[in-house]
Amino acid sequence: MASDDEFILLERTATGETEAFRILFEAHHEAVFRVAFRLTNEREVAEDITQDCFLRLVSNRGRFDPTRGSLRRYLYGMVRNLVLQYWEAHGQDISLGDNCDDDPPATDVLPVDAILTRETVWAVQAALATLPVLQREAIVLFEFEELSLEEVATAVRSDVGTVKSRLHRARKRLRLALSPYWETQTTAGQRSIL
Amino acid sequence: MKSLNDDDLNSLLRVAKISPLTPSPGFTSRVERAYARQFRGTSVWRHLLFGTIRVPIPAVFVASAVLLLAGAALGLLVGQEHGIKRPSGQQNAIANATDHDRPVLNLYGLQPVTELHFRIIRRKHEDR
Repeated sequence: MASDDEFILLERTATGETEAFRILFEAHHEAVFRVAFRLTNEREVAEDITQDCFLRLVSNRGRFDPTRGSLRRYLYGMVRNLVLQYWEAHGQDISLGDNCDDDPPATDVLPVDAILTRETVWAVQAALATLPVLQREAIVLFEFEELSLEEVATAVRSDVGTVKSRLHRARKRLRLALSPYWETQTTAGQRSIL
Repeated sequence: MKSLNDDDLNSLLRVAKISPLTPSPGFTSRVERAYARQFRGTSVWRHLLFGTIRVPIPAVFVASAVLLLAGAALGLLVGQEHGIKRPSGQQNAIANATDHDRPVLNLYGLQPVTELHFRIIRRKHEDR
């Protein structure tokens, strides 16, 4: 859907047109929910944030400028801000995200028992949850939502170099966090072959 | 422990990415109800009475300058209509002509005093 069409739909939501709201919601709510869920790792919180995101989009519709980018990108920025607000309200220190050591402490590595019982999706989700928040949002937007480096930088209000650095650190941490799971998978695979 | 390389990590991320991740079934109707509630809360009249608009700061400065200039221009206009008017040349001539018609004081017709009455005027402290 073109940004201009979305802008017109957004204007129509101002008159209480439920159909216009429904079209916008159907087009974007899954992506918004995915990002919220992968960042918070809590389904209910992700749903609350998604709802809040769309209601704020309607009430502050004048802030969306279709000439500056798509509505999807705008929503990514909104959901990111809402998640940050949620973390701040719940005492999570987001300033630690950028300057963590490349080698995480041992407690950041997922316990083998915990990930042995999970499927790959949940293992990855659990590994994502161990990342510092700024690295997590970078990898969610870049790897899962397939935004370009520039788009990620815009969404997280940073520069491309910083985003690259966060992605590098995030991938290093993910490799370490997912190693136990990977080992069990490959061992099980070798056993099944034998 | 066998560590992952980049390709292994990419394959895991790919699996996680393609798997569906959706909100609970009643979520859509819940959000639509919330939207309907929010819209009821912000009717047109309510918006007209209590709504706010965002105005860029430069626009505020420009609008203020325009208002000041318009006020100054209006003040000048009103001052010209109700202020003191300078007389024109013709009005000056008329004023000079009326000045000549006024009676001139002179000693013509003054009669000498026939009887003098003296009256001494003193201050109070001089009586003591």
